[in-house]
Amino acid sequence: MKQMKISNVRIKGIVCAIPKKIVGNEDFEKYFSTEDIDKITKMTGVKTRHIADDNTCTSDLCIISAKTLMKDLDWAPETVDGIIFVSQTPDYRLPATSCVIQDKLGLSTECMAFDVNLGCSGYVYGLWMASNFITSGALKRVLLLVGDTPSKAISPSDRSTAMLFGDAGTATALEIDESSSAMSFVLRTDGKGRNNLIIPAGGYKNPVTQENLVRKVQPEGGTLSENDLYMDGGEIFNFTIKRVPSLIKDLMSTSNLNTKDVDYFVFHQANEFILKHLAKKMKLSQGQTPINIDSYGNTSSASIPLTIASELSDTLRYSEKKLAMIGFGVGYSWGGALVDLGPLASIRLLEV
Amino acid sequence: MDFKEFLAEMADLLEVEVEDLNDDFELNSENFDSVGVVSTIALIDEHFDVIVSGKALAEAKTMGEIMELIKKAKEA
Repeated sequence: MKQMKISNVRIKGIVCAIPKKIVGNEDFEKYFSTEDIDKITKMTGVKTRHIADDNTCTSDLCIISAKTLMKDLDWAPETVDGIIFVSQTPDYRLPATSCVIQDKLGLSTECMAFDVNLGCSGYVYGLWMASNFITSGALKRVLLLVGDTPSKAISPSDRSTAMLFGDAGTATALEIDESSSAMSFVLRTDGKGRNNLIIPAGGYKNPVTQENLVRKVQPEGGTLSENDLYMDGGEIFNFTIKRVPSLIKDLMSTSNLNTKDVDYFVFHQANEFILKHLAKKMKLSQGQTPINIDSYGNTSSASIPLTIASELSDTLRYSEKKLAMIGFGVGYSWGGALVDLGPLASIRLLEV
Repeated sequence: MDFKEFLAEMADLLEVEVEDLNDDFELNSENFDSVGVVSTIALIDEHFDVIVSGKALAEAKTMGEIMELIKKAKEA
């Protein structure tokens, strides 16, 4: 097992933005029976989600977050030397959305910017990347912009996905700070799971065609095309219970800790059933496992920072807590970060 | 390992009386859909501490086949 510890880096603030349009499950009565909706809601735990309008992209939500964050921290734009945009719902296939963001935030042309194509594991991977650039001495101030608008990627009548996902964009500020305690990371990959959470067409392997745009009836009802997000819930659940417990064990052992030593386990909000099962299996208390999927749905890469902002703002504004952030899913890609977080000069959830 | 409790919870999931849940009990897309499969994976993990594949469960036609899968997973 790789032991990855990074020192001298501090997370200074986290701001998240969610679109103000709220969608409940009644909207699905045109596709599913009430019984079906109740069954699905019981498993996913999702009651409402925030959905971006046609004119709002992930980048817009991240930009609003970043502007507020920079203002709170008094970071002049020209002092930011790197931005990383992590998303699977970018503005364009090219150029990188981070270049667009560099311009819109008025950052210096000396600023480094690039995109990372990861979802559920994206925030943890993003923290690791940003921290590496700072601890190496290459950069001093990094904005990590992480988010997704998965509502735009799904088929509205697909039983597995239509009622699960919500949209959000986030910004996290990281800076060099020798007084900061070390962060630990464990990052993993298994491409054998690639077909279980995938938009099959639209890339260069299966370019968009008139035929693959057509939505076909699915065995459990609803319609889906190859340009929509496909998810095999059973396989993902299998993957999660096979891989996440050992990730947590290994993450704890990087710092010789027990799960009881961690204040909060912030899991990617995949679905409530999986989270409750994991908490039970790892013997985590309810207080240790904040959940917000009921209000915001599964927001893909944004879910970890969004959960921190929605559930732990008051706590982290004034005190330091030990957090284990656990991202897992699409790829398959998964990872954990053990971080002493807070007090934070900026921690907010904006409704835009 | 608690067969009784597992069977009680499976009966609940399949919406039948536990007395009717024998090895020949037939699974179909009505009583055992994708939500049922995921719930069953969780129940098996909880009661037997093994992970049975979703794909294998989805193909099971009877309760007996599920019990076989659990047995195989425990022996592996």
